[in-house]
Amino acid sequence: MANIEGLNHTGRSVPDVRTGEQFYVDVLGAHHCNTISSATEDVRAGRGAPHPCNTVAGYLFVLFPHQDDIPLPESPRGEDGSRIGFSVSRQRFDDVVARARDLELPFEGPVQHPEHGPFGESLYFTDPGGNFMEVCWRRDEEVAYNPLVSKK
Amino acid sequence: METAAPANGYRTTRQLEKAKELPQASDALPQYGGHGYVPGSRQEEGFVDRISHLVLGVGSLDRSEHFYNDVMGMDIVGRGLMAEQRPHAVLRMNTGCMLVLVEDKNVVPRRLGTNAVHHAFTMTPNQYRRLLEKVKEHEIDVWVDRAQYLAEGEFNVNFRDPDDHALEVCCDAPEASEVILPNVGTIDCGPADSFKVGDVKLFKEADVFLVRVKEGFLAMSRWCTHMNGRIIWNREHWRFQCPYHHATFDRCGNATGGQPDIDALRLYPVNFSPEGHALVDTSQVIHRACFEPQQASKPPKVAVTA
Repeated sequence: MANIEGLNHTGRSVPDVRTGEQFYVDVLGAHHCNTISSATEDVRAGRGAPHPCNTVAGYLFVLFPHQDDIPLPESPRGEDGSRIGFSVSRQRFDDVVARARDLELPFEGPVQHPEHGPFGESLYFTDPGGNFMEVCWRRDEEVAYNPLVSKK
Repeated sequence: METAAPANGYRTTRQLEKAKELPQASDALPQYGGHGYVPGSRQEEGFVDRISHLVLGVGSLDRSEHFYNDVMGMDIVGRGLMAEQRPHAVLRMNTGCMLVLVEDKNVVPRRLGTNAVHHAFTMTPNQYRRLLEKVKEHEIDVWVDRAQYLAEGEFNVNFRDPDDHALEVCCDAPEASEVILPNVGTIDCGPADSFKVGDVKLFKEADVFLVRVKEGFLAMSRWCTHMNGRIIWNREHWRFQCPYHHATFDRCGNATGGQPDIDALRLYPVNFSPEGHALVDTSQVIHRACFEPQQASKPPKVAVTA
């Protein structure tokens, strides 16, 4: 067993939090949770700003505004930074690819991963802030891992 | 171990001190996701099924693989397991979430123009305690960004990895969802007839709000039913509000937003002394899903003298 449970949430920056959030809702089916505007030490010191929180398949994304104009990346595979990957069942993967085409979402893939690894196939795209994203199916989808959260 | 983390000079004392606090030893699995949100508490249907992995660019695969294995506690799965030309390593966490480290000589840990990009992980209390030992052992600077907004039993720590990626580790200990009793017995809140309908008064010694509604009196626990944050009364918006995870409640204690599917604020029984004082018995907690008129204690009728 590892000494860590899993991923908790991700903070990302987008040029405009309103259009950024709309992408997460319209394309990824995100749910708006709340907009955090607490007067934390960071906000008071000018190091933060109110930020909307949205969940995608139960995983929280916190969106922050860019502080400057930032050039968008050329490739959606995240070759110069981080990337967040979601999974779907192998059965659903082709539907997701078709859905991405229906949405006219620019993407790369599907790309096949080596058979000896945990990943099956992936497609890659970016959000409006140029943040890299991935959807894959996994070869270990039948493994009974710990739940993301336990029930109260 | 060297880190590219900046010095902590711009952190407040509270942000630095809070990072030293430990949860009680426990292997209890987390009950909350990011920012206290509970995955699965509302219908989640969409483009994808669940979180799978995080990919990070790193300057040295050996150095980062060691950091995420030794300090962060991830299991090493192997190298060269993805359709990725550059050297890369895959590590696994207990929920099946993976971390993929990709070696890149031009790592961009945080996008230009923002310090908000960060990656947060979940640990059990014992895993969190181990982490704090490890960061101390490796002399890694730690602080808590949201130091003043952590509920009871909620622990966060922020630090940087060897490539300056901003990391956060979150832990909700069992005490975050346990009922907290004030242990102050019965408190005398003064003459009942001094409260007008709509009045809300805080009794800090018991963490109790006494509220006069048209049906009678409600003595409400100040501890949020979502996670144990102390709620405040927002007079301008006629709402109780939890500053920790943004749950809101109306004057009768019904949940009105901020967090889905949570119960109304807990109650304590209210009785009245022969002199007509409102007495709140803090030894008994009444759980409820929502407000019902019979929950309010009716004040004694004031004798009308000719």
